[in-house]
Amino acid sequence: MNESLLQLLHGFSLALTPENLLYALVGSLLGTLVGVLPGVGPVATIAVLLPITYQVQTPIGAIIMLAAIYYGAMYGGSTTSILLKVPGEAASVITCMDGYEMTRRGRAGPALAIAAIGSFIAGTFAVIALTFVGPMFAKFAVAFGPAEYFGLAVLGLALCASLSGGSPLKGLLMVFAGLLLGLVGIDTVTGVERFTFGTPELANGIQMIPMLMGLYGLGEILYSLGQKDENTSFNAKLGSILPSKAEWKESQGAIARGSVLGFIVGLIPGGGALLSSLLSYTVEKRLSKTPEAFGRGAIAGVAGPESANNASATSSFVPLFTLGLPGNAVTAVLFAALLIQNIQPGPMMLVRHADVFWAVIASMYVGNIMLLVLNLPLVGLWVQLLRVPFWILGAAVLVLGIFGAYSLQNSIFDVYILVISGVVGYLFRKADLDCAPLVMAFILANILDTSLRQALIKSDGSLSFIFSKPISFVLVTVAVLVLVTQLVRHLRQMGGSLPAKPEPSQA
Amino acid sequence: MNRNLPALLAYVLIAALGMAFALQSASLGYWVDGVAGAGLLPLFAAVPLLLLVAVVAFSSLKSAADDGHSVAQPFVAIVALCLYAASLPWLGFILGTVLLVLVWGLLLYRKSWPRALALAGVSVLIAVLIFQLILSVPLPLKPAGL
Repeated sequence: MNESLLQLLHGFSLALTPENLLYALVGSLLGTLVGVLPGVGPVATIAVLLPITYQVQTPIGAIIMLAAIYYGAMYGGSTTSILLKVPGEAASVITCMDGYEMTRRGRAGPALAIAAIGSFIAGTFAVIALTFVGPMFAKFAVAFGPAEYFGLAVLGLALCASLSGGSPLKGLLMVFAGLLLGLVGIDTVTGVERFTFGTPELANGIQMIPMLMGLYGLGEILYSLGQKDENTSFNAKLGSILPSKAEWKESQGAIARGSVLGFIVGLIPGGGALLSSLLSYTVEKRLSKTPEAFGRGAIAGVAGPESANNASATSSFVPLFTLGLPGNAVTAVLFAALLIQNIQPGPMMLVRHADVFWAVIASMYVGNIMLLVLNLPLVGLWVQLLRVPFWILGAAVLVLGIFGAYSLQNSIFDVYILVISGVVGYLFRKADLDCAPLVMAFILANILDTSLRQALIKSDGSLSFIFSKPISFVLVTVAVLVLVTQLVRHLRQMGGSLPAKPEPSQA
Repeated sequence: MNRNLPALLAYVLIAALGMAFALQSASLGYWVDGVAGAGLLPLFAAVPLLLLVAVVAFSSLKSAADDGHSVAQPFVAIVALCLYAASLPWLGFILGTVLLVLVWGLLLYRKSWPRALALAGVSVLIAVLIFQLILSVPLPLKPAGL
């Protein structure tokens, strides 16, 4: 523990340099600025702004800026949920329910304030917990071999398919599609080209960033085009920013419970923001003396889910940094960003890139304070931005996205990937297919393929490695149980024996 | 235009992906010299994908609810984006993007020429400023040959 604290202090010495503080400030501002745009969620925000971080000279500065963009985008997403009932991502659907009702009653200010304060407290709690849990995870993961990585990848995929929201069959479908797309390029084991169809630009695989920019950013813009009314502008009054005494009292417990719940859920690959928000909302409603107020503007319905959402956003860094497994679509983008900075996330990150690890953790503390200090006074500015019509904002995001995609490698082929992924993202959205399992599988495809083949070589071509190694056995068994449970539950729901769970919209 | 068309296209696309990868996986080999070949995992992913897409498409399209969104405007935008991407190497970023944003303003949002032109000019100018001047990205701005 002492070692962690010393490392953290070193992280602070790096994060608190004027240069890195500036990156955190710019990242928070940019993240909120883009994240506040209706329909643009954190994934799209990070993907669109990612090229800007390439110009940052040091990997630490670039990752600090990205993490700050992430937090800013999360906060921006809550703003549109509360003020416009336009969720920037699936998790914000929960915030919409009571947040927008508060706006309608002239309590938009307290709703936004409690979202910011709850996010700050939860984020800070999660960062403190991450400081201690992260190294423990990393120590555990150092002993992992191909069999364990295979088990981990299988479990990650099973959880993504089951927990990402919506039908597990659709989740599985997207997992398999993502696996195939992730296998495009030169096979690292044999050196042969797979599924490049003679296109040299695909030899290194499909570029992840333009793909994500297309699936989430451009796809969302195309989907928004179909919405005929342009009337997303904010016209209601903001009211006083500070919550009343009663609202404070009601929010305290919700924030505390949301923080703990969110942190635990964020550790699970595929768990992430939606599940934590949903669980927190359910818990708060059950514990409330006035459950009938939920859905009609209960501040605990904003405080709990927003805190849980933020805590899980922070704890999702644990599997990313220590196991090399991104737990959700946002950390998937960060995974790509780390690779571009020549940092391989995984158990060895704490050894090879300890500076980056601890500086990012320290910058999270700083980022949380920065967001609170920035966003409460700037709420009025974000509201002004919401008054700009979508035909202007949408065009700006579209143009920035196209130029940004090109700038990744100075290649028009990346613009092609952006456009194709954008069209695909739109079609998937219309088919109610969640892109998150596809993205996760896309990233895990090579880990799964390589670890499976290495484990098969070690076990002379026998699948016995799954059963002979206790960790891989447990991981694969849990994966099978998760999938079977979800499938049985889904089939029962289809049969009408259980009430159908509403399918949240995707980011 | 049929409002289920985008969903149908999504499933056709996934099925085509599964089919193409399943067929090519055979040429990569499933088991080579006693070890797993490059085609093994693609086969294991493509076959269940094809089965699942049939099941999911059948059940989803049968019970598909109309989300009330227009399909025509996104399709106009998709055609414009494809033409833009295809012509980008010849038109360059400035002319190509100005034309794309003009289509956005004039056709998709029915704005007047001056407003659409202003939007196109300003948005492209800002993007060029950020990427070319501030971030020093060597953008092919001009049309080919100029």
